[in-house]
Amino acid sequence: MTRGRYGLYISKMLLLMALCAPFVGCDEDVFVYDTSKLYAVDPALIAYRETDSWPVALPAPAYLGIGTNGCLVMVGGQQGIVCSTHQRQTQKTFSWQAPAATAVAVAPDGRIFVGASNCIVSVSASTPNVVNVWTSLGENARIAGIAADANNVWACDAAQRTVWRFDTDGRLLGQLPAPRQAAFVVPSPSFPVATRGDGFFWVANPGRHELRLYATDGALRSAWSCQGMMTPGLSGCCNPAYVALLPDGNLVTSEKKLPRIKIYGTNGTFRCVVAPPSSLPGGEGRPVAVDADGRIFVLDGLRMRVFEKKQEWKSP
Amino acid sequence: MKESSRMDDTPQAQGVTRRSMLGWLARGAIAACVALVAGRAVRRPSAAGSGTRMVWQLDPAKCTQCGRCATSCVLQPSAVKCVHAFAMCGYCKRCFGFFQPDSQQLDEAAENQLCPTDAIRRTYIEDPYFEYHIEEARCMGCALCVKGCGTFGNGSLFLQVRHDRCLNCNECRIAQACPAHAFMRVPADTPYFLKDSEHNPMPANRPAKAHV
Repeated sequence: MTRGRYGLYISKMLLLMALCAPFVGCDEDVFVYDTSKLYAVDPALIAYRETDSWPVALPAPAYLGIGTNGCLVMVGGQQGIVCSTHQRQTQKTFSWQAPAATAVAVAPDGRIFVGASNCIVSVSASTPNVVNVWTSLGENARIAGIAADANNVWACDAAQRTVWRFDTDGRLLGQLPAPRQAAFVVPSPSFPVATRGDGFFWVANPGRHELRLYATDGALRSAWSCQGMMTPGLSGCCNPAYVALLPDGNLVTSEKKLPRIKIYGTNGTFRCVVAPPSSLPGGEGRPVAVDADGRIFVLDGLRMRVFEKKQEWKSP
Repeated sequence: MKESSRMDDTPQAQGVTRRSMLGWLARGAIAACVALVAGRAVRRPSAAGSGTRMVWQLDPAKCTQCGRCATSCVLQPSAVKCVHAFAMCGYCKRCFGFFQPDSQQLDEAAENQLCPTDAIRRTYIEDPYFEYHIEEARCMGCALCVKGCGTFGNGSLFLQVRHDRCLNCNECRIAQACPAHAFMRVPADTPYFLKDSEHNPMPANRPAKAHV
């Protein structure tokens, strides 16, 4: 073989390699932690728009509840405020001596129940300065979610991975999961619960990205899970961080770490996005609440934000 | 013979004069002083006045996981390693320190793993809990797992300078390169920043068979 032929082969190989180079190999840097595509949301999926916002008159608001009478309750530290969903002015304030708030719920009669680390604080509806601290649930308890209907209070204990059921006077009636039910998986202190007072309540099982529907007596009625980092899924290691119920029974979920607020049907079908990650900076989950008109209230740091459904929105 | 012996004796006789002796002593004293000063300057810094030996360490609260620990250390692989605070870990099935953020399958296939050097071992404990161990020999301190755990998890993975291999250079090259100024001198008898159960909001929340 002549030298010229060798040169021809080599030049052909080099040409072939140059042509193939754009299509061969990995163009992504393995040393870059790229999450940009997780934060991107298709605008067609965003069904809500922000219609209002105002600063909250509380030094460190952390948790949010809403009553059937349309009163918003915000708590943080060892104090809380009550204000109307339509009038931003503070109507009442209250405080307590127990540990700092970790959850809040409003019963249909207006009584406020505050989860305060390992105990529950009951605040009278008519005179908020009358506060009753229930018995402690133990040194290892950490109430991360609370819900109330006319006769029951459910307190989700993230540390002991159980849901305590009380009556509205603080008597312990039982706990979940029942002996033959699957245990809750709660890797971090996010353990939301929500009810509309219709005899059922939803509890998140965050470590499995699951939502369970229980009857008041503790019977498991249904459950669905939806794990995934893309928009239709529940992201992270343990989500949702907060749950609220729309008047039509659909669920509003608020996720932490990859913060986004979305709506799911009762069977777990993804419906739409309320607020994409781009409108919720930082990694904290935002407490959510829904009023009787279907408006979604989001406690975003020191501001209350209100989201309403776009009239023109249609499911893609 | 006589002349030659005289020539040999003459320089020695001149070398032991009082003047030359004093000159040698003065030079010796100056050299000793210089050596003492240089020795003190070169000696590893100690806590002010206490005499405690100091070593380099990285404050995880300041670390931004920029990846320079892996590339700037004089050692290859770096003396900075990922360590795991088991008391903080959620033992998640989907660990963001272990899996790619958009991984679809939660198994140990290479394409699903985040660590470029396969330095994390995933062990099943009980459904749905898994335990994660760092193989330090493979870890190069790139901080990808730390970033993943901090972004979507509890933040139980963090970087530390491992003193079984750190040379404790006077001018640490990572400290010079660190954009967050996370490197500092700490006493050698408490050389690590530990994330322990005091920082864990739920110390009781772990699987029954978990590593303690």
